[in-house]
Amino acid sequence: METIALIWHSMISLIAGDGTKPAAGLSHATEGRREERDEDAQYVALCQGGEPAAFEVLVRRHQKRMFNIAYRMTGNYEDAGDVVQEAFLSAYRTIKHFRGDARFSTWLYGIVVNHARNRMRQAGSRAYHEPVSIDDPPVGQDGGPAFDPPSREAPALDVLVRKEMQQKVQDCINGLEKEHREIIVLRDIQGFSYEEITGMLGIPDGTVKSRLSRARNALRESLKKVLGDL
Amino acid sequence: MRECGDMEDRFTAYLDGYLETAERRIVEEHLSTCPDCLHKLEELKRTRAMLADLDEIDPPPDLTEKILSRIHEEEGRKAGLFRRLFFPLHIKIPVQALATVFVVVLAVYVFRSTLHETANLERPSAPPPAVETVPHAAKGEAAPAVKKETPPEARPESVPPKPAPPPAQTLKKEAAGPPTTKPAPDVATQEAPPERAYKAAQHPGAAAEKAASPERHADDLLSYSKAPVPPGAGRVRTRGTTEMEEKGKVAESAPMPPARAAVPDVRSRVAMMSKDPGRTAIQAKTIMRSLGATRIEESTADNVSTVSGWIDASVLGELMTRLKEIAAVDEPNSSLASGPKSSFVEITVRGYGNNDGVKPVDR
Repeated sequence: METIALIWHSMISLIAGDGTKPAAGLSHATEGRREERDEDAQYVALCQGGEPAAFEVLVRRHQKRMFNIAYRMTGNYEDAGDVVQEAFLSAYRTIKHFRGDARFSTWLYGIVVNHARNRMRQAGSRAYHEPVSIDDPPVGQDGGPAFDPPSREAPALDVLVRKEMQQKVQDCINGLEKEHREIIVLRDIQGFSYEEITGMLGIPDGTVKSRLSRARNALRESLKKVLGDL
Repeated sequence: MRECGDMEDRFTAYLDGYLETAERRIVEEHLSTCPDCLHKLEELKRTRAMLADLDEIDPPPDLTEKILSRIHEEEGRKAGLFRRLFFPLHIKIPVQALATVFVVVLAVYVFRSTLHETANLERPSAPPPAVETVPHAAKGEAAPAVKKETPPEARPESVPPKPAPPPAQTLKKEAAGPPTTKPAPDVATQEAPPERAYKAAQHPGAAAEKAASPERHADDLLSYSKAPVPPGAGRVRTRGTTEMEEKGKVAESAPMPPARAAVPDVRSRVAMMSKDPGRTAIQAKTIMRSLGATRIEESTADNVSTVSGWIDASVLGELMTRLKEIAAVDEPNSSLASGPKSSFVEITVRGYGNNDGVKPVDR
């Protein structure tokens, strides 16, 4: 009964929005993450013990961040949804093998990165290596990403400018090599530590640093081409 | 310039706060003297800021439902029909228990039903006496007389010496064990020799086989040497009902056994008790053979075995003695009726379950 009550309480709080985490910056990796890890471990243990309902809590807790990772890597809203579904399914199938050496979220995000990579490989270079053009129209509400609703206080023009700018940045990200793209997304957009990235990508710490350095320089050059002087 | 290149490599760690204090100081000293590197660092900072400023994207509203739906599908796939039937212990255990009980009951039933048949198939190790032929009395005057009176060809089919029972009835009688009313010795003497003769006649080419198993076919060979080949010999005889039908036909066409008409209807009964009636019956049969009995027949059903045959009256006493050696003889229910020369003896061996009050003593 305690288990059911725990799951129920968590689901209510997640649906109410308590569990939604903001996009990570470097400052996010603090107390909240430690709490998250502890709670994840609890639900992971329940899943491993044969409580599928506990997995729903983990889905609700991590789906948004996973979706953002997938979207920033693939650059495609629909593909990101598919990638997240596949990643959660893989996680569900293999959660019994999760030993808890790393945080569950690190393990989970590593899965979504792998699936996003596979999706990019399947898509080939058709979309991801297209030259970035400032003439590309921003993706609208119907076919593109649904951004968080802007504040009512912000002027409409500012909103449009901001959207356009963000789309250009995304286009520049899409133009990067896959390895550079994923490390930029994990470090500079999602704010994972070097150690976490090492765990997710399975590469040494030195490689993380050097790859990140090259990725940032490449993105800087790309943004300069699109936006002019930074 | 080389120094600038080294510095650029450190900018990433510098911006992320991953440089040691000493390295950090080196980078800052270089930046204070190199405007180009400082400019690059500023661009990198702005790039990072733009990335960090990207809005968080809301996933599709139905994403959670889609994910959970796929997980439920996965669960359903795992729990296939077999698993659904047998995985819950409250179903699995009773089903397995019932299956076990069923198998055990079936095994016991099959074992019990085949036990007696197996015992009947066993043959005594001692070969049968070579003198098993017609009864002693038949060797005399009666046989030729009967043969002369009723040659097989001349006898009308409508008036057989003893109408053979319908095939099914015959089978039933054999399978049902000892008949409640024992058929008269005449019946046995009418049917048995012609059948053996017919069998031998049908398979003259099997002489080698019979020679290899003399115990089994000694009677047939001897009878064949004395019986005429019935009409229809050479036909392929089938088993079961067909055998019974042909048995009747042969009984009609074969010559009458010579002894029966001259033998008075004397009948001895020996009741025995044994743990294993089938085995005891086989032993009794062997004893009868060794004492020169003829037309020995054996039947088993319901844990009661019956052995009958014709035996010389002079060895009836010895027969009783030897029967007592193999199993308990129920003397109150036994009677020896000695005829002038030969006597029909019927030995009934019952299992302990059919005890009539006699203490069973196997020896």
